[in-house]
Amino acid sequence: MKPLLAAFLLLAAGCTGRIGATAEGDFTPPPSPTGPGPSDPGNPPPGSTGDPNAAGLMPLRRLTIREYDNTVRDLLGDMSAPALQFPDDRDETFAFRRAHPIAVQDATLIRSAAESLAAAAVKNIGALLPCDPAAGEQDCAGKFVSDFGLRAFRRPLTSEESARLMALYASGRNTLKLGFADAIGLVIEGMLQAPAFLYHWEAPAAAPIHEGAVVRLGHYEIASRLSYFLWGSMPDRELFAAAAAGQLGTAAEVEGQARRLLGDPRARDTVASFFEEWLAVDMLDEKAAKDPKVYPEYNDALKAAMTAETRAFVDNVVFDGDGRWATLLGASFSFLNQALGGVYGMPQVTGSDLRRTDLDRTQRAGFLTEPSFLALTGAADGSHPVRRGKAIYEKLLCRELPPPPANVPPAKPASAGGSTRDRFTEHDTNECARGCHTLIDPLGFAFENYDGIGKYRTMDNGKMVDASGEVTLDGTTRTFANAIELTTLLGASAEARRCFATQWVRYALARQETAADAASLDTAAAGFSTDASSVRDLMVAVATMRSFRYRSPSPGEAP
Amino acid sequence: MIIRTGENRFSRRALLRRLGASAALLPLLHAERARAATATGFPKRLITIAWSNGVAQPNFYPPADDPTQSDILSPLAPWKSKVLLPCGLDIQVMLDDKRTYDGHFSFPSLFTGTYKNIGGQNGAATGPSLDQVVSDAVAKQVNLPVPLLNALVTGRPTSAGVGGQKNTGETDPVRLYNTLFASRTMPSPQLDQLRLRRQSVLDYVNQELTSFSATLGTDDRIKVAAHLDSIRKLELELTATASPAACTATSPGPAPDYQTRMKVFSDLVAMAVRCDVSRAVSLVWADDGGSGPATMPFLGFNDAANGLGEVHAIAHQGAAAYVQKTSIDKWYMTQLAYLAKALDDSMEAGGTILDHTVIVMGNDMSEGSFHSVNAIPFVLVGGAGGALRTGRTVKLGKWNTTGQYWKAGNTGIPHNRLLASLAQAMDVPGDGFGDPRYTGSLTELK
Repeated sequence: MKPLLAAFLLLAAGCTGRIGATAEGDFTPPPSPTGPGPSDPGNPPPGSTGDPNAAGLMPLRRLTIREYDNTVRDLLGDMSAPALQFPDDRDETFAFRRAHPIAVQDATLIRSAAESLAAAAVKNIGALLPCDPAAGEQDCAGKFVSDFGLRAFRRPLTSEESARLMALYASGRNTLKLGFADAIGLVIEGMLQAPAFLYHWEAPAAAPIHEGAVVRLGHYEIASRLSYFLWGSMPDRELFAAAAAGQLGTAAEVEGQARRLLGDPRARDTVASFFEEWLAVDMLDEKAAKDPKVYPEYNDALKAAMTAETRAFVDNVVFDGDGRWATLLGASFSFLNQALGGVYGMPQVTGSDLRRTDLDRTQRAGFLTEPSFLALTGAADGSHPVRRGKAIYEKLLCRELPPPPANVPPAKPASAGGSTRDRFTEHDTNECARGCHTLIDPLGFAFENYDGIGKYRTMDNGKMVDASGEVTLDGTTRTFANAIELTTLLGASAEARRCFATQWVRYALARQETAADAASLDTAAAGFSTDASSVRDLMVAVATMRSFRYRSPSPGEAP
Repeated sequence: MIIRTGENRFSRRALLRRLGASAALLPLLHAERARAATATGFPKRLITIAWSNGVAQPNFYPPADDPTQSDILSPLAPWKSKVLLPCGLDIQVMLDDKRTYDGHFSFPSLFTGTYKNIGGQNGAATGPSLDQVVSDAVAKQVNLPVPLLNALVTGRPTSAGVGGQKNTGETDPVRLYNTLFASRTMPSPQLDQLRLRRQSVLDYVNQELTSFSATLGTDDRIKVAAHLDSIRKLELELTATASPAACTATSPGPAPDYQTRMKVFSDLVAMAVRCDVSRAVSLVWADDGGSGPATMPFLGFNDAANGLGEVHAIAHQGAAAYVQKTSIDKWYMTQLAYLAKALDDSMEAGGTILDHTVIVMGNDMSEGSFHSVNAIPFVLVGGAGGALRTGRTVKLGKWNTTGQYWKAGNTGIPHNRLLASLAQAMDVPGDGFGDPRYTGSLTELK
């Protein structure tokens, strides 16, 4: 009973010949881009040691839940968000959302979504039809397939693809005895389950464009990469037009479109979603259960407000403010409602809507001192220096911990006496625990002024809080008295800024970086290299980097 | 009766050919279909259950042959003649990869007997799980409406497909009910039209996936092959008929909390088995990461100040919180007893449904303060129609009775052998399961 992988592969690859072998003449490729090829590696900064012509792999990914719902909204005008029914698309090996391969349960739910979306579309089919069926139903169906198909598949259809969709239309009319509109609905139902819709692979069956050792992405592929990165959705009319005109070939052309896309409200949702996924503050429900006796106020409404606060804060800084790293980590304002006011000790804040509120700058500084982050990384009944330190170490500094040793006894409970810090410090002197915890706990101790849901405190278990410590940043060891000083140090650190840029690269590529991405990482980091750099500049730099516009050929890929 | 052999898979064209393209014939065809009886006259069923955080080991293992004679296992006492307790099984495939203490990451290995590290402590399966293998074997004999019932009360799936890819589990009881029993409520002509429509679309999707895959690299083709495999399974499900077995199915009510979810999913599984909608079931009762269920307030643990708020924290305390851990472990055995009873209350030819079933419940680790993947607690209920000799405690390998064995080292018996024995008990031949390094089965269980 060994894995039948080999047979599996044969099955998948062997059923038909390569499409490209017969289809090449049928597909009209977009006009060749003029100029830049290998000489347009993006813009790695001076001093970058990475190969400017290299680019990492582009593994096949399918639409995440967010992308699916956004796409059907923009494609069909359907706001029902059916993908919320899909299985969770978190990937435990990766910080950001990444949908798993399609198992039976996924295929069943994708089918249900397609059926309900198509049924809803049929009710107002006129809005989607490019023609009047009264003038010829067959012709109108054909025109629908090519026009709507381009938007659904995010690139022009091959003649084979059109023929298969017309065959589906015909089986709707002839076998299922459907009327015109319902048969179009059947076609939509099929398209929404087709790989060209579900997967990020907007290359039609033409040979890949090899340039040296890498493959240059086509204009339609770039259009979708841009829109999914910056909007989490399909390209708009203008992006499709640029792709059709072959105007997404150079870094400058991509930059122009990226800046345009950043002016759209959909980009705001992307920035908020990035922070939500990166800090995992949308997981309060699953990952941050609290003891109701210790935190009776920690209910669904408060959890939702915590996540919404962080979204509103980063949205404000990035799009309505200066977008700077130091501001994200140092601002002494946030967006509170009454429930959050309770956590912040600000009873004067009332109402359920979030509103901008100035905070005590000796107690709060940026997103790391917001309750969402502090509750997520807190324990059920108090603070948790290990979880908090680990988050700073891995998420903010991109450092990697050695694997944990075996059989570490847990830190003592509060009833054993002593502050949280005392008990965890004792735990860390345990020989086998020392390896990891001396790296992360000092960073976590900085947040000892905040309890398990982020309330500010000066006393812990009857003792004065000691939140002081030291951290090595940019090669220099610095001391801090508390979280406010630590976040200030992080806000001024080039190392932390570079890590943040790396996180955006991972988000944009939906994978970890590899050696082939070295120059691309430098390009991204250069977009965020000074105190005055804005997150928006960083996002543009990511969109223009080499690994965003080129890819390595996949092993086993047809040449 | 639909007997499926080899590559003779169902297609829309085949259906239409058989029908003479006349939908009017469909109900007739349905009426002609009957259950396929197995050689032994009754269908066998497999139910795998995963739970987590280890057990309070000293309170788990019985001193003698009665497999329910321990505090934790006592809720199973009324069924003690149908319980089989294999003691001393290691997840050898993880031990050999030096993943001794990665108990929180063992679900991919628990019912597949395979392991591959995919970064950090994360592991993945490289082959199919027992439930998948059994459901595929059953599907060659009979076309059931839901060949593999895969449900998660909480946590991540243990079920894995042919290449080891995770089989996403159902998390919504109402949706699961509709999947299992919808065909019983829809009028036949409407159901036939829906099936034809879905068949047209699946046929189209099948073609698209096949041509899409052709241009991709090896790794990406594997992902598309998994997708294609899922589409083919949906095609097969379309051709299954509702069972004529006399059974009642009632829609589950709301399940707002963990306790209710546990009950509702057990009820659905029992219904599905009773109605012969499914013969292979994968259930996950608790998350292997330790976070679900996070708390069990219904057991009265509210002493957060002593680290007794979170279920995972209780497990972490080891011996210091065995009192609390034991009541958690015992509660899970009460749940197992509930499911066993539901199956034992239903008679069919030759015995109760439970007699023709094997439930195998496995934990992700040995003990909560230790996190090791040796000495894994497994509990079997039901003898798969006499294939397993139940009513016994079976001490395997270097197992001893001190109740401290999980600290003493490995037993040397890979749990692959249990999986192989269970596959054999389900009439799937083979002399090993999962990673080919671990051959053999447990003749002691027969």
